[in-house]
Amino acid sequence: MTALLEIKGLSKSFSVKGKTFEALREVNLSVGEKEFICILGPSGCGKTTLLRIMAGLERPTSGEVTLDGVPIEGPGPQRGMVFQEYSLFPWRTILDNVSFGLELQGVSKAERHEKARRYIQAVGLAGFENSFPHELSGGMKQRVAIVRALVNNPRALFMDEPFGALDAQTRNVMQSELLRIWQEQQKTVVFVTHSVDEAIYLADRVVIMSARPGQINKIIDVDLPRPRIRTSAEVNRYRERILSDLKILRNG
Amino acid sequence: MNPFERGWEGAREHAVTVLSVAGLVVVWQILAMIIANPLKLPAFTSVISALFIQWETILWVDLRVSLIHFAIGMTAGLLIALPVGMAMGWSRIADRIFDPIVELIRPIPPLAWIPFAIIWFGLTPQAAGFIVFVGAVFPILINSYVGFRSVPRIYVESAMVLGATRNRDLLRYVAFPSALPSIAAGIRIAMGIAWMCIVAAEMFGASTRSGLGYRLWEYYSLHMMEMVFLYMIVLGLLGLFIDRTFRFVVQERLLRWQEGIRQN
Ligand SMILES: Nc1ncnc2c1ncn2[C@@H]1O[C@H](COP(=O)(O)OP(=O)(O)OP(=O)(O)O)[C@@H](O)[C@H]1O
Ligand SMILES: [Mg+2]
Repeated sequence: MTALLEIKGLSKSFSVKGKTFEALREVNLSVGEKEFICILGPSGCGKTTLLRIMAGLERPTSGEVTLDGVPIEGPGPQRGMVFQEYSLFPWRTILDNVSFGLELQGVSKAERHEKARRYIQAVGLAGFENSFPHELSGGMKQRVAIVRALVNNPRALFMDEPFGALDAQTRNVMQSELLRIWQEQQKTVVFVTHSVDEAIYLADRVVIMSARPGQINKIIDVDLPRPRIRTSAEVNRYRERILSDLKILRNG
Repeated sequence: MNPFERGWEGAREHAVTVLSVAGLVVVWQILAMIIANPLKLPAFTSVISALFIQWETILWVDLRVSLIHFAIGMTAGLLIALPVGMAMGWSRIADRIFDPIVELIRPIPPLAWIPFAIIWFGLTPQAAGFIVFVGAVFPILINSYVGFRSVPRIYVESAMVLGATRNRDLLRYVAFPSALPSIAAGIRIAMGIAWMCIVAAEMFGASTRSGLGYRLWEYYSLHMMEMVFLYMIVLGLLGLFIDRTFRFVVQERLLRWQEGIRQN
């Protein structure tokens, strides 16, 4: 597997009221093309910060992230992002939300709407093209947010606890759907989550981070064929292993 | 609720409105008859006959002139307030530059500008328009400023990762639509103030010798109080009409996306 994303010696400090706070220290990670990475770790360990730096929304204090060997200087349509909060533009219809990226690229209205329609259909939201975001449920909104990022055909997709606000049922459905999209579109995905089950179900590799300062503690290969059975013995073995790793982190 | 019930509900609501207005007219007429002094309270019937005498002048002269004042003031207000409010809300430097100027001029009541308006523009519609402008510019400016300053960061960042990296695109696609409800509210307030300023400016004669406010004052000096009353009613109804039209156009069309958000 060739590396698409390289995170090299990445550190990030915030200064708040004259005091500096080290959010990330010396993070190194290389993410392969078409790889699905999940990041797990206690609250405040810098998962969001890491993702925001990769997306170009935050500048690192030192170190760098490269995409195809090119350092990331700022945000761009090559790297899509799905936020934890609902981020659809409330003043745009679903169709216009999804076609936003294409509109910026100057794609004609007919063409971008046609493409957006296909994506909206693909995630089962046909019929909602002219609805506004407030008319959709949480799961539907996140689905739209995902296809809104995918329409740009990005090299990598970063997702920050995108299903955190959803109920367990919807969450499972969304996970399967995401895997389907990932397999179809062959994207590189970096996915932050709090749920060990979610990580094992989705990831090729699970990155476990520790807090204060935020560091990568362990990387676990999830060597299971897909589709994975959530309740299988192998999945349980992985779950126990990861949970005990996390417990050690928590107890210091 | 089925459509029939809703229709019935609607009809009943309208009926209540009509009845309450009719009740007011009846009470007014009776009061006028009891007081029996047309100077103190002209009767409803004499105001109606005044309308028959006067409607052409109202429509073709006074209303037209007042609307010209309104249009001059509101247009100038929008042209100044929108860009300045936007710049102040979006850029910290522009905020620093304009803030002291705005804060110094804003507390001056618009009517205090009447002498200078007359000196600068003479007795022209522009003079009254200027007073309207002074009244309208600040509510629009302040609301645009607030709207552009409180654009939620999540939308800006979403747009950036989707490829909107130029400031221009962020303003056009994110900041402006996000600020629009606040701007619209500012314009609505401004129109109310503009309407008051028109009357005062015209009463002071800061224009050609016409306009709803000018004529109202003229008839007062002639002690023709049923005419005064008539012009008051025209002013009230017109203000209501402008406000409702604006609300309809803006809220039903441009801000349709807000509906559910306000309810939730
Ligand atoms: N803009 C900022 N200014 C100051 N401190 C910040 C800023 N952003 C993040 N931090 C701090 O950096 C640390 C890491 O934050 P981050 O949001 O990345 O954590 P997280 O792992 O995503 O947590 P959670 O799982 O709760 O989402 C936190 O202690 C946070 O307070
Ligand atoms: Mg986070």
